[in-house]
Amino acid sequence: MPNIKLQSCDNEVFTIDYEVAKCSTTIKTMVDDLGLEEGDDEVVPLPNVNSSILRKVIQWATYHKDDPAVPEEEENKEKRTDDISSWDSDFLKVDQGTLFELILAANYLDIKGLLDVTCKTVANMIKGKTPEEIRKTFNIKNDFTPEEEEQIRRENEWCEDK
Amino acid sequence: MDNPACSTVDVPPLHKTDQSSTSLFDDSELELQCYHNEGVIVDDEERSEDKTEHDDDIAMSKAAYSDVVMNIIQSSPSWKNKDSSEINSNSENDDIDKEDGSDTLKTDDNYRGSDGESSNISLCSTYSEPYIKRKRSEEMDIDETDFYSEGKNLLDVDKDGNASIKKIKLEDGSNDKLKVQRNIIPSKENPPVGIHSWIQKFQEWSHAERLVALNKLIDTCNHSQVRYMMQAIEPQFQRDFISLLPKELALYVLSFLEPRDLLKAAQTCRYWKCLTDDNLLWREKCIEAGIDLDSVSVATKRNKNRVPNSAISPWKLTYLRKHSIEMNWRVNPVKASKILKGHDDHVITCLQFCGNKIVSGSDDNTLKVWSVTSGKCLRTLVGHTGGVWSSQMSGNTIISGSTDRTLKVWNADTGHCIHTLYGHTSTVRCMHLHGNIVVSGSRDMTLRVWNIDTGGCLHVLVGHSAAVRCVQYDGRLVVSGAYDSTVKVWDPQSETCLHTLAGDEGHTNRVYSLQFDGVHVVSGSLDTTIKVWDVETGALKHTLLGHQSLTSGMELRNNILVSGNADSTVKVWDIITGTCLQTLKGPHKHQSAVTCLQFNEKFVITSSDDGTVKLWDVNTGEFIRDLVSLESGGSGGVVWRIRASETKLVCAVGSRNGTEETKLLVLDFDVEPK
Repeated sequence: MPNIKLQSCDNEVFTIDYEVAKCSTTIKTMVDDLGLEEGDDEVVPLPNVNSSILRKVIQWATYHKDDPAVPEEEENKEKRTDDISSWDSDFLKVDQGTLFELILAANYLDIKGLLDVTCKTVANMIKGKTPEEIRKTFNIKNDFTPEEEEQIRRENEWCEDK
Repeated sequence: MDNPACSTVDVPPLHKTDQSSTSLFDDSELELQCYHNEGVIVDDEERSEDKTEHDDDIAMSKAAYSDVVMNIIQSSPSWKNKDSSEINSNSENDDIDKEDGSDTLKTDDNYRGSDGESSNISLCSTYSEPYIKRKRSEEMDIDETDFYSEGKNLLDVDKDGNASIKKIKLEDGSNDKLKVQRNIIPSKENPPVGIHSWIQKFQEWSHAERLVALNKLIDTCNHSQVRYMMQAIEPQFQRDFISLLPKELALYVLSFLEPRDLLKAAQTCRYWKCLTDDNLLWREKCIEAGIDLDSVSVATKRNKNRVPNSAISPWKLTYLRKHSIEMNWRVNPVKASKILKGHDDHVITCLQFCGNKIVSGSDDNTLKVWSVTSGKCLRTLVGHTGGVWSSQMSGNTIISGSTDRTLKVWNADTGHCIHTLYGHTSTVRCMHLHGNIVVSGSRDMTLRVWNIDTGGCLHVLVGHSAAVRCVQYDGRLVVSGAYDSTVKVWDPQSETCLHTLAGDEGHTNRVYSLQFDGVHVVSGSLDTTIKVWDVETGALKHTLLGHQSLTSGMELRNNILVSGNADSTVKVWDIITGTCLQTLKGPHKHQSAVTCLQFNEKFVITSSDDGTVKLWDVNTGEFIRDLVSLESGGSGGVVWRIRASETKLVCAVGSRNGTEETKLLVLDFDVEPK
């Protein structure tokens, strides 16, 4: 079964290599459950992904199709966010709306590699910023009263080394 | 109409901008912006006042006009700086008819003169508002200020609903030539002439045509207008990921953050605070940092006692407490230490610290039990007839060894001697307690194994040919080091020596210190080397070279060895590879022999004959700071022994020459209750 047809929520059909598609655990499971075989003209519907995002996902999956399986992370290992490859980093130079939808799609399609790299990208947008800078970055309204804000500031004080 | 590139700045409710609101910087900025657009500043209240007096007067009265100008002036900080004296002298004065208008004109010119930049600033401030809020306030503005209908008596309005230019004549007539052009401020409610047809035309076009048109439009705009466009569009592409993603995904994003960033994120808004306080998230952070469950229950208990707010995640609380304690060790000012005076001018030879109790042994033949919290001496253990040179402690049981050739078992609470263990024929110099079994080493060249519950001697280990200086016992095997330069491994049950670590590969001088983790035997000697042996085979694994003198104290944990040497340096070793990871030296190094040390996963604490206690980073080898520095250091003051818990440091200090009184110092690094 070299190719598989995927249909986005806006009814665009993508024909792609099954080797690429199966990096999505969701698609792999669907194919297994449907018992699709080579020559079948069955289309796998993906009602939660629109065509522009699906195109991005396929682009990512195609580039990463030969990646070794992601090893299960040890629980006590500190999570890194500085290990995003330059290709991924370029790939994710998109507006926040697109990044947002990519996270949802990666989660729905169950593509751990893509989910990790997108979530890390958002984490990197938060890192090292002051609360006000974070608000600016994500267009967040400060809904604390001044008293609450002061209380929370004290509760969340971080004593620095230097 | 909703195209943000075309929407104009919303006008704040102008009636808010009376004299009393001059401090509202935002308003003033917007007003400045409005004025700048060659618009008339129309003040609702001014106008309604005017209406009563000059009902049909189309031109704004000079008084009203001046007041409006004053509003601008006063609410504009930049103007205030420029010409404040002149203007302010008039601002409170109703009688401004004598003003010839030149000042107002000047005002006018001033603002009109400065181009793009200032208007741009006000746009920035407007559009830094969250998009949702901004949209809402635009709608509210329409409701609140019926700007257009209120103002119709002042403004000519054409049939398209667009305001036209009006001429204003100042009342005193002295300036007939001064004609200020005014029209309504362009806004969403009062759009420029022809905007409808413009937009309509745009809407008729195809997607591709629109793109061409937009490109043309952008080309037509000047820099500040393009920037305005960007600022208007940008928020539409922003996403509050944490609030909009499903909770588990938002938490997954947050799980990539370090604690410091989580604390910052908690301060952005309520929903972020709620998510960043997630207990499981902080559990993960604790596990990453190697913080275990035991300390969580400690922190939670403390929290219940001190802070009634139980809504805080116990794991977060634990993490923060651990971090604060670490910072107390590292950087925060050291609180004044408790001084526990005792043992007169004698030497404190051994020190134990467990729970709330400190036990000090001295060559004054006694031991003292101290309370850490009160700093009081609870008991003095009297009974030995010679100096005490070794001790062990477990729970409320204390064991001591003396030059009087005996060991004594004490009850720390009552201070009673429970057993006196007779058998050695010379000084008991070292001992190691495991469970209810203590193994003692003596100058009589033997080791004895005792049951501290019964006080009976179980075994005698004979074989060394000189004084036994150090001993380790893990419940299975006994390891001993002696002045005969050998290390011996014993099976206490059969009283046989399994291995003698000596010969060509052995030490060439007295063995002073030992560590034993059940697998490796590590021995430190006066021959300057440290040797790592395999306890099962007795084979030498590594000889650790680098120290210049006697290794007096060592600690081994998880294959990391820290050794303190009389050469005044401390070294950190990997005993598996046999490599020296760090040497604690440099400009802040000890000036004299290292007397004692202790380390954990972050720090090494070292004490020295130079009268200081130093804190080092175990991972980088960097000197952090002096925790104790005796004034008498260098002139006789010495730190003999140190023991530390997570939050406290106990130091036994004194001197041989009377410069420093013998005492214990207790330093507290615990967090203050908030």
